Amino acid sequence: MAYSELVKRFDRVRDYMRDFLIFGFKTREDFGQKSARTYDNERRRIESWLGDGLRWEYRPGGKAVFLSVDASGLPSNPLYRAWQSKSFTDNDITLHFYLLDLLSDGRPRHAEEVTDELADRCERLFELSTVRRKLKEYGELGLLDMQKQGRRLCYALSPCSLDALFPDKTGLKEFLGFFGETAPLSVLGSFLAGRTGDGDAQIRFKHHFIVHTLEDQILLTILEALRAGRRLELTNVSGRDGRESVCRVVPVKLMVSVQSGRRYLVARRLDQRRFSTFRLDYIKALTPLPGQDGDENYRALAELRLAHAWGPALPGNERTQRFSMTVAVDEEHEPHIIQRLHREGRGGEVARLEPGLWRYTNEVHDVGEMMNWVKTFMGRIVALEGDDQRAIDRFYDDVRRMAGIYGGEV
Amino acid sequence: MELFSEVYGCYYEVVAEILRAAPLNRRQMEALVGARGYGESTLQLIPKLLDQNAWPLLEEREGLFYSRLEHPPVLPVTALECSWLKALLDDPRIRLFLTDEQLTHLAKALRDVEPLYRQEDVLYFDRYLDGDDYADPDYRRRFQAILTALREGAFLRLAYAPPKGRLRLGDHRPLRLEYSAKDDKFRVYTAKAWHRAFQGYHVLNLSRIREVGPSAERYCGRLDLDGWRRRHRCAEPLLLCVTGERNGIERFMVEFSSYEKQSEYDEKTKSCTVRLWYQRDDETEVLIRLLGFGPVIRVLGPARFVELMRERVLRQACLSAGGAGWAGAGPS
Repeated sequence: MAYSELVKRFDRVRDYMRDFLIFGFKTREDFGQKSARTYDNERRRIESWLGDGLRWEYRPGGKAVFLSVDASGLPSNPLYRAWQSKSFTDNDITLHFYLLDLLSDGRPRHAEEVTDELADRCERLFELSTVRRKLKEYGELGLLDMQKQGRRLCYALSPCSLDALFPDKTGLKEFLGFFGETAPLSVLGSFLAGRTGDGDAQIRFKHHFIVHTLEDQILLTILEALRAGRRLELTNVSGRDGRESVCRVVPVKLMVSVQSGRRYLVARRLDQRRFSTFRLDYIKALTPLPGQDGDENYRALAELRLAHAWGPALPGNERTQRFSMTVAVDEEHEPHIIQRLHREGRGGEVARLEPGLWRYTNEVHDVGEMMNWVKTFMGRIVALEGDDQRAIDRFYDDVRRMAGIYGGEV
Repeated sequence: MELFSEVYGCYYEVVAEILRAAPLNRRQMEALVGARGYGESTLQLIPKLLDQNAWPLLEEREGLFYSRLEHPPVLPVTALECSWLKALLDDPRIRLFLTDEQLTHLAKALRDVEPLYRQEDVLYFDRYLDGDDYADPDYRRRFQAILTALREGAFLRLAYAPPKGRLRLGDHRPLRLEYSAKDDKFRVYTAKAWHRAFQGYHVLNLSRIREVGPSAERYCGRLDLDGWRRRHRCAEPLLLCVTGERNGIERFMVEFSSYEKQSEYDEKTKSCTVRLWYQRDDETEVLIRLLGFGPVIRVLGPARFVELMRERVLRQACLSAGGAGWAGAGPS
């Protein structure tokens, strides 16, 4: 088959794009499970979508392709282009434009009428079943309004346009520019912005994980399941060994880390009768299943447990562990350290013990999850105390190892 | 619902653009496809568009291509887009961009639409707690004044309260807004001027702007914010060795995916060498984030940055051993 810039399935390119952006060191040989030709075609496609953004370099192991961008300088997420690459047939595009053109006079028509009038207009015969299928599809997408006239289903162009929603367009460019990068499913904002034809809204985004958009179909299915109270059959790929597993879950909440760039689905795992967290980028497939009475109880229980969660992991019981960190602060010159304890401490208590000595205290399910944050105070931690001595010992062990690395006395 | 649909597609968008702009000659069409399409779209899309047996949407008369449609193409807002917009109505930040009248109209137009999600479905669990106060009517008023000036290229008289020191008055032209999801704060990049003379670029926290007023200031010279930002990039990249311990490579690569970086994997040592570029203003933030990774990451260069790491680590080692390592010299 001839090469095309467009693809039928998004998941074909999802892994490649993620690897190019996140890792950037893999060569063609590292994508060993696919044929060399498949790799070349996918690389060529992504190159075509992203233009100069995709770069390459010869490394000892071969040619490595990578996407290296300072996300804080981007006017919009370049990976959105991938979402616009769905392939279609000649009939699809012809029908799309003639159908919307025909129905733009506002008069509802049934499928037979549409088929006849299309034949007159574009001198191409479409089968009634083809037209019927397209009308149904566009009705479900919301492009067409459906209404019964007698026993027949009639279709008219939806009056819901950007002009109808925003008769006053002041601020629309900035509104779509902002939420088209920051809201869940932000790619939808970029689709809408594409229709306005407005340029750069002059808004940029720091700490911006553009890679998230690659999981937007997964995210959409989760959001729809949460909204409709559905369960999900979830196919997960282990980050450790790549093994696939399938389980049934009641979705509870989406947890987003704005610091580590990971997003999680928190869900009640029905086979293990406990809460689990699944990274969105490790979820391969989701199938919606009907919800059941009582699923709401899992959501209520999860809310209770989340009150003492530092990260996305929810424990099987309500037991919490006490933890405190005492730091030395020059109060006159370093008030921002105290500010950090307050704003980054996720609700922990901050108290002054004596001049220059401050204590942060919290009760959480898993002290181990806190330790990356604790290490960011390295250089001023006077004492760590709490119920999880293993986590505390590990901190001191890390300090010893780091002192070794940077040439200190251990 | 399917997000990956051709109705949102690049080719549909480009063809709609051509049909709206028609009549066009071939060169004009190619220019439009070159600007809005993918890298190889000119080769793939134009032949289809000119082939009456493929996409019979244009007809040629005397070297010009005319649309065969009766109306300029329109694409209504899809049900998915409507439910996304409906969800945004509950986001407090929407009030920064739209007026009460616009919001009332939008809410009315979407009254029968189910929101795609509820705010409580998504928890940003490590977002800082001292984010901007979007519910504050004064914050909203100042934000909208800045947004208007940004759009119009106008100057504003701003009263700014820096973290240290007294309130400062100045005439600034907003050039760009910046939002941080981690801080949940807006900043504005401005060009300051005094008596039509350029006084430099400034980065101001929106929440520290106490008052906004009109300004008669003007500056007609060239402004190059991107160039200024480029000059504020680190002089040389950080050189890091990231090991696979505790899934370090994957953790690091995802966390630092918003930075410009280049990496190389060494199969023998199972570690990765990374060159990482950052804005000089962010140096302390990068430093403490790297410290958070512990011994999984080793900073190899530049020497000045290694010294910063070393200083903190050794100070901590001294404190951990019961010594008085801290001397109040650390910046964060």
